[in-house]
Amino acid sequence: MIAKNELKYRGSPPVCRNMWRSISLSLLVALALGSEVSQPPDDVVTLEWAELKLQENTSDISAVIGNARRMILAAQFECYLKIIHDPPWSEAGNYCNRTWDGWMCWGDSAPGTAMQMCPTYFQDFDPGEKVTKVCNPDGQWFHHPESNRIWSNYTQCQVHTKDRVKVAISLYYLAVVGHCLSIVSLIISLIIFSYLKSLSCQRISLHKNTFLSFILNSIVTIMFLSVSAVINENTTSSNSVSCKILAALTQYTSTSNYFWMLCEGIYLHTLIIVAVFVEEQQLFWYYILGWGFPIIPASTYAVARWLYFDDKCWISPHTHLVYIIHGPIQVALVVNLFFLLNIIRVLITKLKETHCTESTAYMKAVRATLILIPLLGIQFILMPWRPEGCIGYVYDFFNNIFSHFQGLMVAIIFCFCNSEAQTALQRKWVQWKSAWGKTGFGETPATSNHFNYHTNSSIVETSRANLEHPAPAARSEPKDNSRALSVMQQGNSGEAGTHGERDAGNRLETTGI
Amino acid sequence: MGTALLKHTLLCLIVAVSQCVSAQGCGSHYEFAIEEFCLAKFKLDMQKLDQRQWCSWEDTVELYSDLTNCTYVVAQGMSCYWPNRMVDEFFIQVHRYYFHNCSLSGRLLKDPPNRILGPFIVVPILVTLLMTALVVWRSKRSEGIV
Repeated sequence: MIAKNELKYRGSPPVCRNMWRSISLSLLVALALGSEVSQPPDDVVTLEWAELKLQENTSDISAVIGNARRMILAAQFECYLKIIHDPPWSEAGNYCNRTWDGWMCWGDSAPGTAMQMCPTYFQDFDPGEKVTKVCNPDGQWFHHPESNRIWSNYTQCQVHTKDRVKVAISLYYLAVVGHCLSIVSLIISLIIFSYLKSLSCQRISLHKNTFLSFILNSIVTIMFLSVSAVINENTTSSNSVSCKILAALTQYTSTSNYFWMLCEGIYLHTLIIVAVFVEEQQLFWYYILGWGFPIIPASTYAVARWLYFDDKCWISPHTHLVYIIHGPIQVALVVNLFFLLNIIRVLITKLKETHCTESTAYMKAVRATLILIPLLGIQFILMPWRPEGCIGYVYDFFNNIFSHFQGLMVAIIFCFCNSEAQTALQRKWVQWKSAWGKTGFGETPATSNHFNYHTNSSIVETSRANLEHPAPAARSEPKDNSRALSVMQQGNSGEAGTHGERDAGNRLETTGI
Repeated sequence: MGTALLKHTLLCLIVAVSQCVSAQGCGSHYEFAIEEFCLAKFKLDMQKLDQRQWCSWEDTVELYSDLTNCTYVVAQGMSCYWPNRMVDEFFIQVHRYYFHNCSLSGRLLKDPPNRILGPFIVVPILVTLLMTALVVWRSKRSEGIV
């Protein structure tokens, strides 16, 4: 199976999905490790080289039918069936007879050059390149001048292999680095969100589940990339069930990523537009959508793949069955974008009517999710339009960054850039320092009581503390003021009792970015 | 193991004979050699199988592989290039006799036809939309439960 990292399918549908790229680039890494590679001499490209290669690699020739050999045999069988069933040549003039050239089937051709796409038997063959066979005007196929044998030109299939191997290896390392960084940053974010009890609320619970989903995705992806790079060396373990289970698991975690982002969007939508003053929502359905539902596309994919396209380790991306996974993911992204745009629309229209403080607070809540959705989705949008040539490599580079560093981006946008989390961390830090008897920031331990951030303290008290304490970052000041103002507005409006007031305040507290 | 040894011995004999006859014996000698040697064995092997199994790829792939290998080795021994026009005609004969009823596709990995692929893709998408609507509706409904 050829890696589709360069993705040049002239004349075939652009099945270009990042996940498959990352999987398929591991195939090219395996190529570098040198399994089932054809090394024909320059002038003669026929079956014998595949056979010789197989004979070199296996001690007992009759025992092992290699993957390439089996594919070539099947192609030969179907070629002769096609030859006996195709109608005879109906046009006038000379033509070259239908034939099997050892690797591919050629039908009756008029004089000229017949073309087909390169086969996928060998890992160094690019199925985006073309095979040509010349038919002479006298009705004979082209004979190679040196060996005087009928010859098809397969040289284009592997002309760029060395370059592509280099690119694939570097992209592989980029993928592994991206996922490792994502895992580290997401674990740190999880620790921050779990440890700082003051931040606990429903939205943070959803964030924690999203982070967990991304961590699982990164772990499984790294495992799968490593396994698939190794498994190509060993042709006898072609039906390894554990590798297929890992492939299905990769699809599950990838889907659950996007569905957790959808849960975040739905939660914000419900919070801001649909049920503004509701008691806390039931998170049960969100958990179902985020963890439970992705089982459906993943298992459907596993069944379909097992029944209809059961290749080694389910690694080949050259099939439309991948849309079983990518269809729901794209639907989730589009629906999410729709929800978020709806929120923006409502907030903007509200801005025009009322004062901006509430809307600003909500807007900040939405901002993070709105930044993330395009970042997650951009790979699906840009993927089909890969430019050719050298720019294509740059394109691959950026696409890989977008896809493999997603966890890191989520951690940064949802946690490290979250001003709530930053403020809470700073308070915690000052608490620790004062607890150890140090006096940083020129304060006496007595004033640290302002930052005794119990969860059941009054929101108004803590807002006042915000106003008194000089904000460490200048940019958080306006937000603090607006938040305090809005909380006081909520308190004064008398919409609900103290319970409702605290909830409204809680909501605004923790939804500020 | 014994048959393999016999095979190789017979082959060397034929190769030696043909080498004496002609250096570029890609004409009738080659045709004769593959029919006498390769086809005979293939006929015997196929007779051992039930006729209904002739179209089963799993059952016949080994025999087909042996046949192909045999024609290849004979070609090498006769200094012919492989494949050639004789090989084409030989296999056309074999296929006309044994495999003319077999399905034209299904041995190579290919996507299923659209009538199968379509539902596989469309159903998860529809279920996704349904689940999303369900979750939105449930979270909306909790407004009533205060």
